[in-house]
Amino acid sequence: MTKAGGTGRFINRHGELFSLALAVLAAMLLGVTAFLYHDLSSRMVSLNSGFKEDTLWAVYQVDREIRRFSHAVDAARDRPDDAAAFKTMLLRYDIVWSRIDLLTKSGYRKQFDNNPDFLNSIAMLSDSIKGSSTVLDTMARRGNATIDELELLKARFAALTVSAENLLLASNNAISSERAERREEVVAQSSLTERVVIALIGSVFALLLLLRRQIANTRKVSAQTTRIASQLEDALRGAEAGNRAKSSFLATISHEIRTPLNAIIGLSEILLEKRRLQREVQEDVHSIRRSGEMLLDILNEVLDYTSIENNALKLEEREIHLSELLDSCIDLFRSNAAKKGVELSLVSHRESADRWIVSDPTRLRQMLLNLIGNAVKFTDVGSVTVTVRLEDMEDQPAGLGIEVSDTGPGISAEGLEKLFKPFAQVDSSITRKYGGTGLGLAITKGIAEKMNGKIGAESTPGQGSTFWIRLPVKTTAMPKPGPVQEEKLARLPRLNVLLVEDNPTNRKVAASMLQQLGQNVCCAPDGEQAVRLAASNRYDLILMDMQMPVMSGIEATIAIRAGSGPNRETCILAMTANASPDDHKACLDAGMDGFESKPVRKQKLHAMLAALGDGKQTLVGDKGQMPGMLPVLQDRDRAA
Amino acid sequence: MSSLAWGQSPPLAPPGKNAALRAPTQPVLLTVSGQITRHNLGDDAAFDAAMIDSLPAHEFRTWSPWFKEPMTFRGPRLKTVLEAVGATGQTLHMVALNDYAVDVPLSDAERYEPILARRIDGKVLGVRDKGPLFLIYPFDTNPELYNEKYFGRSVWQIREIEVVE
Repeated sequence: MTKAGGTGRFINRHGELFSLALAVLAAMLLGVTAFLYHDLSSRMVSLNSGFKEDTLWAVYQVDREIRRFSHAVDAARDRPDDAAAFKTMLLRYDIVWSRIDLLTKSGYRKQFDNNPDFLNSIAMLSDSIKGSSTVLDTMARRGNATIDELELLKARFAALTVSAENLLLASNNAISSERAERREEVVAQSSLTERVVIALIGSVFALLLLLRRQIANTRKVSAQTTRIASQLEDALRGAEAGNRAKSSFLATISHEIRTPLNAIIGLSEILLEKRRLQREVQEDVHSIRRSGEMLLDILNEVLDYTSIENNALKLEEREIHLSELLDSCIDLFRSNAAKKGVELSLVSHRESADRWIVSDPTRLRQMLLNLIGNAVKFTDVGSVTVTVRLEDMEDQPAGLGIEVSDTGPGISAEGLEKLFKPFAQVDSSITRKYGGTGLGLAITKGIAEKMNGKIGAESTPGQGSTFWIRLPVKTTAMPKPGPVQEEKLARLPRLNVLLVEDNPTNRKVAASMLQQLGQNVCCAPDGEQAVRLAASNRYDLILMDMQMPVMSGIEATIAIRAGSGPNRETCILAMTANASPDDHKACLDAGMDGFESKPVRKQKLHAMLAALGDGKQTLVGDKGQMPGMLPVLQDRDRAA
Repeated sequence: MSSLAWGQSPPLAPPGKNAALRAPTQPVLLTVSGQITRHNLGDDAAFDAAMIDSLPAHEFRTWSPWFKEPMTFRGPRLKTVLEAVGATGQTLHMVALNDYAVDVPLSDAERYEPILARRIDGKVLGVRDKGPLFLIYPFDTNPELYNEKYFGRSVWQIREIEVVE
């Protein structure tokens, strides 16, 4: 069994070689067969040639006619006066003559070419027979025969009879044996052909078997391949399902985390708004809020990364004032940099100054904050330079290039490789020193690539690093409200809005949003300034942050509502976290008209502004309308 | 095939159904017997050399198994002779001087037009030359005849033709 198996495997492995060998063998055998067949058929043809029979017959005829002549001679001798007998004898001689003549002159000679003995015998016979013609011609001329002549003829032909007979027997034997030999040759040839044909059939058969084996193998392999393919498909589906499960898990988890996280942040804000807190307690609560916000940041990072991975990132298209965006990003880190003694500067090339581009501001900001933040974070000495370049190109979107160079510790070649990969921080000591999820750069990369751009980093350890982004962006002239925008803004009235917010980032964000909505924005960094501004300018809307230094939102509202300033009746909206109905009541008591959750969302602002423009005063909350509050507002209206 | 001119003997009676056949004046070369309508010797028709020569002759050159090279055969067509004797029937029983006999279908005479050769290469045939008459088929123009069947029918030293059914 093993041996057969071994042979089988051997054949399998060298299957191709075997097939080739067999094919060659078959071809050769076919050739041999063709040749043999041709040879055989030509032999058959020569076998079939009847000449040999005729030769024998011719020899036989000679013998026969010699005998008949002899008898005629006897008859003439016995009846010397019989004219007919005489004539018959003459005739018989002529016939003998013609017979031996045929044997010597005809094509029969060819048969005896390989047999000189025969030729000699025939020649001798011919000479002997023809030699007697003189006698017979004399007798024919005379018209009769003498006894002597007859006796002479009788004697001669008696001997010739024997010769002729011997010749006949020899011919017969020769021809018979030759025939037998030929037949044997043919039989041998035929059997050789038969064997070759059998070998041919055998090899063809073997070939077929091999072919069958090959086909079976191929089928097996194909089945295997199909199986593997379907296994892979299953695995892929499983992986996809796993991925989807992961994503949906993340989404669910993030929402689950966000809710209590919002509560932590919101409640800590509320606590801070309560002025009654002691300083130390305030600081502790600040910490809680900061921690909450950091957690939220981390959560957002994770969600961003997930959405990038799942290709679910959606980009907006907005007109952005390039320098303004950059300035606002850099501003965020100025104090940090200053504290460390690191110089932070923006270099914008001539052509990028005062340009407007179309992109997603949020994501662009995200990328910039990440890069600039990293640079400032890791640089202790020297400077961080942000360079911006806008290259206009014909028929193509312009190329926006932003570089963040620092004089930090630099990154090794190994580190550069791992840089944009998620979770892998360049060196574990960084994690310990700086914290972070390790997703920042991965997200930045994801965003850049989603924008059809490229991102990269170069670094010289010990000298510093440069991170760069290149994006294709559409440039645009300073936007006059386009037809769509115009429509949108047409719905929105241009109002004078006072934005009171102490956090510079939030302030900038809210201010830019309002500007984008086509509003005239004034900013105040604290309550006191707000009151002062409100005293001299009339605003259509005041957005009041709650927790501010110097003077809180509530205090400022009361101050504005008191007196006869131009904003006594102005709509004042609190910007606060989810608060309890008590706190809401406190707002309303202070004279506020409603509240908006932080951070402010643009759609809500839009809706708010639109409603204001229509003259209606709608209560806007984080989760949409709070029907419970409507009656309160209406009451107040009526009261006013 | 070159044709050789021959001196003509006094012609036989003009062909006609009941035209008479003259009697032989020289030794008889050929006797035709059996189902014939014209006789000159009892029930048979006998031909001498002159009578044979007076019939319109035909010649052709051909290979044959009895000669080492192609020979020119000349003589009256078999069918001419049969017409001359008014032969009716299907088979010709040919007999040679040595008593060799063979049956030749009468249709051969019409189909292949063999000749009763009287001369080979211009030489008048004697018995020693396979004469006086040699039935030869035109093998060269009819290669399908070049086999034992027709060799067998190519009788030489013809003595008698018996026309039978």
